[in-house]
Amino acid sequence: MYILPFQQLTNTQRLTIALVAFTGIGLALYVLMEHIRKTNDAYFYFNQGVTKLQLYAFSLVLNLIVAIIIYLVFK
Amino acid sequence: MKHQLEIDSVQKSFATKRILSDVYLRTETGNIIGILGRNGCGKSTLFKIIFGTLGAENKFVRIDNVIHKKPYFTREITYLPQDNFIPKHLKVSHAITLYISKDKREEFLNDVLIERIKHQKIKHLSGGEQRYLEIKLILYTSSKFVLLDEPYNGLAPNKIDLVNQLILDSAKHKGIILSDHAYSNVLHVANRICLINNGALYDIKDKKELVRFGYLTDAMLASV
Repeated sequence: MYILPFQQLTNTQRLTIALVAFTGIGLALYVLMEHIRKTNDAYFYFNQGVTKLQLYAFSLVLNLIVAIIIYLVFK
Repeated sequence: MKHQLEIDSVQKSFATKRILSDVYLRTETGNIIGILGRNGCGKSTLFKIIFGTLGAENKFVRIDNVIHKKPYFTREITYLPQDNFIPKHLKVSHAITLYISKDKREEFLNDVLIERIKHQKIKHLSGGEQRYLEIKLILYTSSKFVLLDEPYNGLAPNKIDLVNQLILDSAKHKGIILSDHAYSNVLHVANRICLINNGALYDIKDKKELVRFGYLTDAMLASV
């Protein structure tokens, strides 16, 4: 029995929603990371031994986790 | 045990202009090196190359005889950039938690100014308060070497004395390289002076050499 209407979505629809969320959040995180990289804020992280690559990798992992959660919630 | 930082064969150009040419610098914990030079001579460029966030045509950075391509990744070296670097949305207390280890936190917070601002957000601090916080954070990290690029920027005279004392205290267990246009402060706090002139780094043995290189006038030197 489905409690909420979005729980009736097909696998393809769920995947599409997750992909749209991944792309949207990815773009937002990319803009944020570019802002950090181009301003002095980046030195706040560099001084803790974090590299530019790790900053981008962290945002990618965060984005993936959010997309997977969205995909699973719509089950 | 003393630690060593060695920078060797640094060459850097922007377009066709050679900024740094075969720069060599060696220091160890306990030393404070003051780097002087005119605007655009390459002081900040040299700091970023040492820290590892700016590439160079050629460079070797060794910490305790181990070459590092990106020294900041080792956390053995920290860098205070010219402009404010703590993200504005952070709270002072959050920045302190991220930067200062638990065993040093009580000592760090034992400061009238820090105590007063510790619950505020960075964006609500004045330029001087923010600069003082940044310098203290950088000096209290566990790194062996610290690069301070224009630390006196925006500091009131009473804060300058506090910062000088912080630098002198930190130099007991760290190697410090600083650069600032407030040359009197640099000359006061540093135990070794270098000058960047035409891309080369000169060791200044006598302050009169600063006049000979055209960095200071006789009157300026007399007032130091």
